[in-house]
Amino acid sequence: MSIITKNGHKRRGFTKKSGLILAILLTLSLGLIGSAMALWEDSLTIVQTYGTGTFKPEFTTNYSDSIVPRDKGESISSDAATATDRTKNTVIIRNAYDNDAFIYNFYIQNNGTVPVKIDDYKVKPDTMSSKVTVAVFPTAPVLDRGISPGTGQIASGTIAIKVDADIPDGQIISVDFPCHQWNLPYSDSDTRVWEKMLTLSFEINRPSS
Amino acid sequence: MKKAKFLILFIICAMALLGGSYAAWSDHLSATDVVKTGVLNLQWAAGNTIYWADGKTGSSVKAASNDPGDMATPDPNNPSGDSRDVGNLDFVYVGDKAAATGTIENWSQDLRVKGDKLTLGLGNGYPGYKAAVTTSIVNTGTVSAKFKVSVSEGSIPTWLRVQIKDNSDGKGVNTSGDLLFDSADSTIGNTLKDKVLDPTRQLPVVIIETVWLSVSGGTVDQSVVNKQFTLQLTGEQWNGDSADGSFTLPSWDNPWDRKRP
Repeated sequence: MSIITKNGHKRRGFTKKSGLILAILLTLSLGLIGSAMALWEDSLTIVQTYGTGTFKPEFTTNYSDSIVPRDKGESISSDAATATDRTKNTVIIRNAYDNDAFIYNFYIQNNGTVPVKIDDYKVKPDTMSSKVTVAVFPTAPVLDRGISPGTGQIASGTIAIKVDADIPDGQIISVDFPCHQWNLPYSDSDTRVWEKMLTLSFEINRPSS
Repeated sequence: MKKAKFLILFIICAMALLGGSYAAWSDHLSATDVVKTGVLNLQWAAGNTIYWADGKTGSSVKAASNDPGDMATPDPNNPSGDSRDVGNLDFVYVGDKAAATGTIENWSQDLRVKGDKLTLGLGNGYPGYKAAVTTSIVNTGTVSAKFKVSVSEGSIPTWLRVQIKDNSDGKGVNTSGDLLFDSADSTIGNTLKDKVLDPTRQLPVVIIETVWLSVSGGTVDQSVVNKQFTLQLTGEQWNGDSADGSFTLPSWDNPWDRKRP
């Protein structure tokens, strides 16, 4: 390689162009060395999609109520207001006389995707528990097997309230049904288990004097 | 003139004979050096099997059906002993061979970046649900490999525990093999580095997924739909120790190195 000097003589050396080419070649060479030195790798992947179910026991919009005895005419009536999430129903009983019995039939459906189990019920306040009789049908699916998701299985129940003389006007009696996923026990303190409380409340109003 | 022509002809013939004589006494040796590099190629084995764990008996039960709602197949970890098939775990396997049978675009890819994917789908999970997939990691290359595991996309929810265990004893979810990866213990993520997988050998593994009950202070989210994360098992040559990030080296199955057949 030669360069023509100002006085027209040739001398050996690099032109700017040849230097640039040399630099590029050097860079590429270093790059190739890096490639050759790099570790060989291959990757396996596990692409995991996941989804969870829903836990949604609810009262159905169907219900029925009746009074025993009925010889006093329409002395008792109910007004079942279904809450938006259908986990609470409030029933208002009017003109309840002593020794009347109010009977309320309800239905529970599993609108989630995981079986629901109801082990027990609780009457509140405790002092009113002797006035209330609760029966849940059919017993086996609800208390043992749980309620399967969907519309194929609906649990029904009956609550009977005996209006004794010592029930004051405006008394509220509630019945709680603690529901939990079918394979784990219910626990108030264990929020990791899917559970939900279904509540029926009855407001007992005496006849106006 | 005639003499001159004869002389010229004689010289030509002499030269030709000289060439022939020389050629007869010459020989040459050649050395053709064919250099072939090895290949580092890993893939999932086909024929994965799903097992449910029966929490009551502690044994493995092969699932005959994996459809949610099929009451004939029990879900595991069921303390009450009331077996119902509620959750489900299924898989789609994409291996090198499967991808290679595809289109020209697939053909033009490096085998090492084809397939190698195991898609798992956990559906209708609930607290306490547990299921597993057994498979194997196969070294189809010519270089021994070791591994490390990382989450490359998304994140594993706190309530979902993912474990990868050595299933060399073939006992699936009940294997006593080494715990190679545990999403609940970040210190175990590189345990697979201790496992060197030689060419043509397989490493049987079981991938266990548990919807946790023991999430401290947390609950299992309900109504989660099609969330996703990706676990990456990076295999590298057994004698290296690379930093994160890799370089794809041309190889025999790469079109950079060969002409299209």
